[in-house]
Amino acid sequence: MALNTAINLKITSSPHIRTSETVPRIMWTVNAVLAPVGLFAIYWFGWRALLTMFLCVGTSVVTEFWIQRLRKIQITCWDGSAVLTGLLFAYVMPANQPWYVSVVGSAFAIGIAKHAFGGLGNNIWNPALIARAFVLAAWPAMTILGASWPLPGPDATPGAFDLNDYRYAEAPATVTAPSPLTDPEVELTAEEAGLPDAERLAIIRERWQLKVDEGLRQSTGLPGDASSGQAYLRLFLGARNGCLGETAGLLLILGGAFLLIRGYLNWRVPVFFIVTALVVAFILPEKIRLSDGSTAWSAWFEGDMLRQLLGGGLLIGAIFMATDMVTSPVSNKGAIIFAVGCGILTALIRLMGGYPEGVSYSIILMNTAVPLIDRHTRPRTFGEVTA
Amino acid sequence: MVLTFKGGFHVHDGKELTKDKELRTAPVPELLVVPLSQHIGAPCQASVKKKDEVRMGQPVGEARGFVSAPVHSPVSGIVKDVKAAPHSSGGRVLSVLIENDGEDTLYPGVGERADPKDLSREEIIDRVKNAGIVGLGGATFPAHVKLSPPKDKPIDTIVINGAECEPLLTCDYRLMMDSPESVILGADIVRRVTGAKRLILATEDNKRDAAAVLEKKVAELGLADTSVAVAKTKYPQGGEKQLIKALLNREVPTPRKRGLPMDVGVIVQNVGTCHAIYEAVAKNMPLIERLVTVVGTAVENPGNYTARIGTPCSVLLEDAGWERATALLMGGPMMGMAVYTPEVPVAKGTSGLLAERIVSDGDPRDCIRCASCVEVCPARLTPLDLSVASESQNWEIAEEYHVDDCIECGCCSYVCPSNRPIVQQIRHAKAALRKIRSAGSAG
Ligand code: SF4
Ligand code: SF4
Repeated sequence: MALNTAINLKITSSPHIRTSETVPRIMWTVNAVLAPVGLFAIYWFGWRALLTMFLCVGTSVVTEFWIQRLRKIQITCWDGSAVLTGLLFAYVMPANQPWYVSVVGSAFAIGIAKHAFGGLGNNIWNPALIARAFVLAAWPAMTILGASWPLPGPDATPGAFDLNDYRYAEAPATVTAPSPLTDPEVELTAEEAGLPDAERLAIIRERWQLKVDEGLRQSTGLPGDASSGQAYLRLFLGARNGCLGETAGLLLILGGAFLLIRGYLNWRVPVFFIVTALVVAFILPEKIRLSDGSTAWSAWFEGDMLRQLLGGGLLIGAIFMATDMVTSPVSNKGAIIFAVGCGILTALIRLMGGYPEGVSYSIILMNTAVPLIDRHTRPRTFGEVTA
Repeated sequence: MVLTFKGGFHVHDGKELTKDKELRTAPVPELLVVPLSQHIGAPCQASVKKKDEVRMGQPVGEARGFVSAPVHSPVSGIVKDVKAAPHSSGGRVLSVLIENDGEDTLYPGVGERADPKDLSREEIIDRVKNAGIVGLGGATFPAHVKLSPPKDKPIDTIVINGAECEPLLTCDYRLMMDSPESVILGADIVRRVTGAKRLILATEDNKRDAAAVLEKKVAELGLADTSVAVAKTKYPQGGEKQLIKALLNREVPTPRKRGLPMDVGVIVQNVGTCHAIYEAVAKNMPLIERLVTVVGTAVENPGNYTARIGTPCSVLLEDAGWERATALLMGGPMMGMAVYTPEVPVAKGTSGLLAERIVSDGDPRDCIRCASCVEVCPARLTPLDLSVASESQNWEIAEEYHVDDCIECGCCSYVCPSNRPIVQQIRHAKAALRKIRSAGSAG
């Protein structure tokens, strides 16, 4: 009795019970899900991948620590979100990028893209993607590296560590090959150029297709006589060139499935994003560059959906970037609009633009539209009469 | 077909702690504190004064206005005082303090049996009104008001709410198991008075045994147009609007248009209320006791009690054994109110008494827009926007985002990984808007 009357009862507001879910738990789970992708990258691209990841994650955490320290706010650099930003930034960059690109890009992601907007929850754009865009703008040469990724072929011993690889001015020491999505340039002889339009176009398309197939084999390190089925399988398993964390298609899908089961991911975003991008890419013709500077178009309804799905950053973008909670809409309807928008933009940029990579820009563009989407897709309040 | 609504969630409900324990009768203390405000609406006026002798069941507070309900003496004895005393609302409320003589001498007329069939509609409503019956599920809305719907709102269905969706609480379950007959007969009285045709006794699928008991009793009593419905176990299934939606797929219009269940031809009454209505009509028993679940991490021997209204919580807690509680809640863990002293008395709306050792959750963080709150909100609001609007005192935005439609179920705060006090912020915004509006209408 005395024990109880002496006690101070706390007055708290309802509800008096709460889920055990916390922000750190969500963030660390996503990090954990991404870990196998990183391990694969180390296996595939060698220790340089580890160094890149280490630099990106480390810079992110340190930057967050100092910013929070200077802003005199609670220090949350270990809540997993800075680690996640650093990791995702590393995953969308080449494994052999120079060390200073890793450092500057990650510092930018945390310092500008995240904290200049008010910190976690208040940023409009996905910090990792904004940092990528910034880095590509700051070092335009990086785009070349982007188009011509290191290919760890049988010659480049995975795991071999050579500091010289990091010197960006020199060509990467590894074999390079065009990305599976790079547009090959088609050459015509003067004679062919003079043919009637229909015949000329047929030749262009055929030659372009051959080059695309060859590019696909090159980027997966296959010999010239390999079938395209083999090439797609290798794309799916991650045995291709590309960004550090984008190649491991299978692992990315498994990771996404895990997040879905944990309830951290709205399936509508990746599904509508990917399906839309593939359907549009299937329907629309793709721009073909000719060596004389003119352009032609491939046929309608013949887009190669598998190459679009597995060849670039669509999987990591749709599963891990577009689904970023902070920068995607909150309602299911909004999520679908957002994802369809990402899909259309990705396909258009890929098919018509100069870049093979449409995913990151399309997500950044759609991030911008999220407040607008949210405002117009509020759920119908319970009891609101539908007229 | 699964009977459910959109939103809400399922949580481990801890009902096994108390559900199968035999009902206990709470000790009746020497001093009872009967608050004059135990319902939504105008408080009562004391009809007794210091030193008056009172009998068990005698009115001690008169209803003032239509939306009000009288209160009665739960024991016989002497009025010790009429003064402000601690109350579940957090403040002090004018209460009648009664010294129990231990005799339980009945007030004349109390306990007189009548066959409900012989009573007219008006007589029944009068009895319910005079018995001081209010919604016992916690809403405490005077029951006779619900029995007198306006002529232009015909009622076709009566829904009896035995969902008891709050975690930990099992008093409604025990009532359905132990006294199904009075619940059903009370429900039947409600049906008769309101002229409704159909009667649905609703519970959740974690209480199938209670549903079976009710079903058997309904068959025994031979009631027509009466069914037992089992809705999905999900919080807040017992919310009036959510239950109507789940059972009948009708949507009660928004509170902004003053929508009520009767606008869609439905009246919902809690199972405890039906029991009390039956007691009032058939036995002329005023509402002077109720079932209370006593449970919580600081309670040694949790269980359900029949307790007299006005019994200080400490009496129940001592009986069940409690130690080192850091918080005391009246009601369930989701919507209950924290009180600052165990001297607060059990009132008509007290469905549960929780003594908890609550561990602090840490500070709230910025919203990470995870959308969990949007997913669970049964009112289909965007709680994250309301939370931010309230935080920045942007009342217009709160209004535009329909803050008034929030039923304060607490789902949003429950799921928020950023630990944001969303419901608290929403209450704050509602209060601010009320103030602005009343200032506007006055000026
Ligand atoms: S408390 Fe209000 S806003 Fe929160 S989930 Fe319940 S109805 Fe929605
Ligand atoms: S649950 Fe909390 S963190 Fe998530 S969107 Fe709602 S308010 Fe924001």
